[in-house]
Amino acid sequence: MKNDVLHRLTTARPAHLDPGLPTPSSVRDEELATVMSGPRAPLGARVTVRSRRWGRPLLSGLALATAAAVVALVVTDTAPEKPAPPSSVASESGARILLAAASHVERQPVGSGRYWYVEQHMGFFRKVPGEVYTIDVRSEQRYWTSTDKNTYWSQYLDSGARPATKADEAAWRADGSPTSWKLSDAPDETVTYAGKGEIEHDAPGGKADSGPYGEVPLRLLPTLPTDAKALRERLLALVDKDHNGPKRVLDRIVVNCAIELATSLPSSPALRAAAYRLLAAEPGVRSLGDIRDHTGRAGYAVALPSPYASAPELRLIFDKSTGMPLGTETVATRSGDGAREGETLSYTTITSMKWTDEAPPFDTDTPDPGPETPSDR
Amino acid sequence: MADSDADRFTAIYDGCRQRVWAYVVSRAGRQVADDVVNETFTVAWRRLGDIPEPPLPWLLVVARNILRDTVRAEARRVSFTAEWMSWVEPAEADIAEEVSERSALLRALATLPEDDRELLILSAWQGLTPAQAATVVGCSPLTLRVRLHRARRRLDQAASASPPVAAAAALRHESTRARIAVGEEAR
Repeated sequence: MKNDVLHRLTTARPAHLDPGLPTPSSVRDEELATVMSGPRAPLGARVTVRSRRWGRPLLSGLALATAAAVVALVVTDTAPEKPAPPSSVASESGARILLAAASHVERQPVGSGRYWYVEQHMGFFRKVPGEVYTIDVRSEQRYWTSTDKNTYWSQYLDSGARPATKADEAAWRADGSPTSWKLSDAPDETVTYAGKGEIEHDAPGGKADSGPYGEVPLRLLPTLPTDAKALRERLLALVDKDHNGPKRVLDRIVVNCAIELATSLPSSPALRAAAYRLLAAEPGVRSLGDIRDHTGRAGYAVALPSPYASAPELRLIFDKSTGMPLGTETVATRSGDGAREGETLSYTTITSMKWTDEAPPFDTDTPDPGPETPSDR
Repeated sequence: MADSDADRFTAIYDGCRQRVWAYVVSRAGRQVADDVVNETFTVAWRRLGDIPEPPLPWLLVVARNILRDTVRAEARRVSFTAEWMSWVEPAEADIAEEVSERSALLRALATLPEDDRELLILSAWQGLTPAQAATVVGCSPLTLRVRLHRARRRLDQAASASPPVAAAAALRHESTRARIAVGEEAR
């Protein structure tokens, strides 16, 4: 059955997915050592693989969104971000910035409203193939969370691409100001200046219903300690309860939880401040000093060390007067995968984050434009 | 711990690690694969006494659950898209006929619903029998055969119609959904 489609598919398997390939010995040795230092269940004990009590993403949303970009990214000639300062002196001042932001943010008024509303502008940078300039491929997302009912509305928009910097803009004009760009040879890998507008929206109910954003269950927010040390212990206990990973993995999840408490969840001012202080105690937090975010707002920023060697570094930007988060950026920490060390890979700018009584502007889902799903399940 | 446990575990690891990794990569890309694989074998070590022979289907069930519980559908689509592009681009660099056939198949694969794609990958790339694949996806062997039959037909249609625009449109649509929502428990 040489022409059978399954046989042909077997032949088309990408080489790196060959089941017969050996695992690199460095990976093997480290992984075996880590895994086999973990706990053992008594023989035959009926332990469920993993209850869905404390779900966590393996990467933060941002990191994953960027990960897609990182793979396909080509070298951007004009890095919008200046190279990171040496980390030796910066570490202490990184902590100091977070502590200062904490003391500002905890004085913010406690908000109230039926919905927690967050609006974010996001972008990732791509060099235009065959050209000398880089574009910022922009999108927008809005979400509303009703915390009493744990319901979630979200909306996602394609806002169109723009030249990344002034220099890129000049190069773009010299190129005849094209309004669409083909980013790779894959058909339809084309982005436009105008953008497609709304891609989708999702209301509670319906088959594509997604849950409130975050690793930390919303119902737990009011119960979390507002002292940084106690918060860390509590988060670690919560993570540990449902996770059998080694300590370093658990620590990473705790940091991710704190980042969410700091930058996206409806945390009380005191809880947000505690999350900042937790992050301030992390080793290797660097100060980036005063910077402007992608909408030109003045803020100050810190860089959190990347969780593993090749991962992009996450930068958090805070409003100088209120201490509230302005957004995040991911920056390449090594050259490779088409990016150079120190280059900004993507950003998320928080344009609104507040309690509101105003209901979401839609109550149904966009019709699913995707491939038909099988009905006989 | 008994040395025999360590030996058995190491043998399972050496026999299956690349297969589990390849399965996760083919569903969600390289970015998440090492984490998911690491977690899978952490569970495997903890539950060594429960692992049947052959161990692969059991390990794939664990990896599949971890993937489902930790990387939401939108996130999987985003990272799968990046991974898929790395399969297709080298294929297109060459214009040999068998290469364009390969490219058409890989493109067609991307147009299928995730569940169809999974069945095809388990069968064609992991070499599982229908009974083993049924264990992995948690359905009866009979249902598996019906579903696999349909998935093959769809792949064949998609590949021969070869609508590269549709293929890329489907992916492009997914890749713009760079929005990850997690924490279903929080609902």
